[in-house]
Amino acid sequence: MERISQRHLIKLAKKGNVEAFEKLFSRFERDIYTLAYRILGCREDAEDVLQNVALKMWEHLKDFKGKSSLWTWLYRITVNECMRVLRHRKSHYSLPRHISTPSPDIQLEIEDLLRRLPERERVVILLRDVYNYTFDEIAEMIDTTPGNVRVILHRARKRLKAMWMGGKKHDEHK
Amino acid sequence: MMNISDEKLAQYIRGELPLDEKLYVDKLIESSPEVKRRYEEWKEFFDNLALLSRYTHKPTDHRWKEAIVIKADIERFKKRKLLTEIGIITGVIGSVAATAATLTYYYLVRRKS
Repeated sequence: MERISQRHLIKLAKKGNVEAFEKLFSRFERDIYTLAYRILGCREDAEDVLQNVALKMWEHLKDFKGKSSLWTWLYRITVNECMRVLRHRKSHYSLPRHISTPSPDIQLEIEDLLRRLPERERVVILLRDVYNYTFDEIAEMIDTTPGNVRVILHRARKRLKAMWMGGKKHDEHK
Repeated sequence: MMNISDEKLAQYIRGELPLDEKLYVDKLIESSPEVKRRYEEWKEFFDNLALLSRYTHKPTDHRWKEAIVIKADIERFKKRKLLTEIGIITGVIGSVAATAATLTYYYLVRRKS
């Protein structure tokens, strides 16, 4: 099947072509959902974020000038949406900190450990050590200073590694 | 005894240290088996963490597609409504202008005759 160029799809979507927009957004759907799921640790919330990001992209695509990549632009929107959900969640409920779902897959195991981190630490370690954002970019996204990002990151790394090593020792004793 | 914090080791692996500190850690890893062991632990940890970027989840729900169709329909409806309103207003203004022109014409013609 012919793969229509991203630039062409953006052009059509900017004119209000729904089909082009769907094709374009589908290319990012899984990544956006995965990022949201990892930050929020909840499938339903991640699906809400996915929908909100799609709506925001539809509304603001005309303002997208292509200075950064579409991917970077969408990631920022996703992180902002996740932060909004976390702020809202703080005043309503919080996820259980210990979810014991042992998994044979290392990726799922790490995701399970990530869910046990405090929210801010989870966001920072994901953005820095998985998605390679700079300290300045993360600071802007979570509305803090780069220095504070470093502090949070250090705590997150230490805590996650301790959990990771704890899990490994537990497996060795089995 | 030469020692190094976990924070520095983590920063070393992630390439966040300035060159002089990086060189210092290089030497430490070479010379101390204990530092080397801790370095390898951290390295394994970051390698596993980095695996996440290659792995994605599939959403079970595609509500966003419906939401976009609805949004696009609403926008189309609003646009059409706006165009209709502009049409009506233009029509009204046109009629008023035409009536005014007719009245003016008759008034001027009558006055002359």
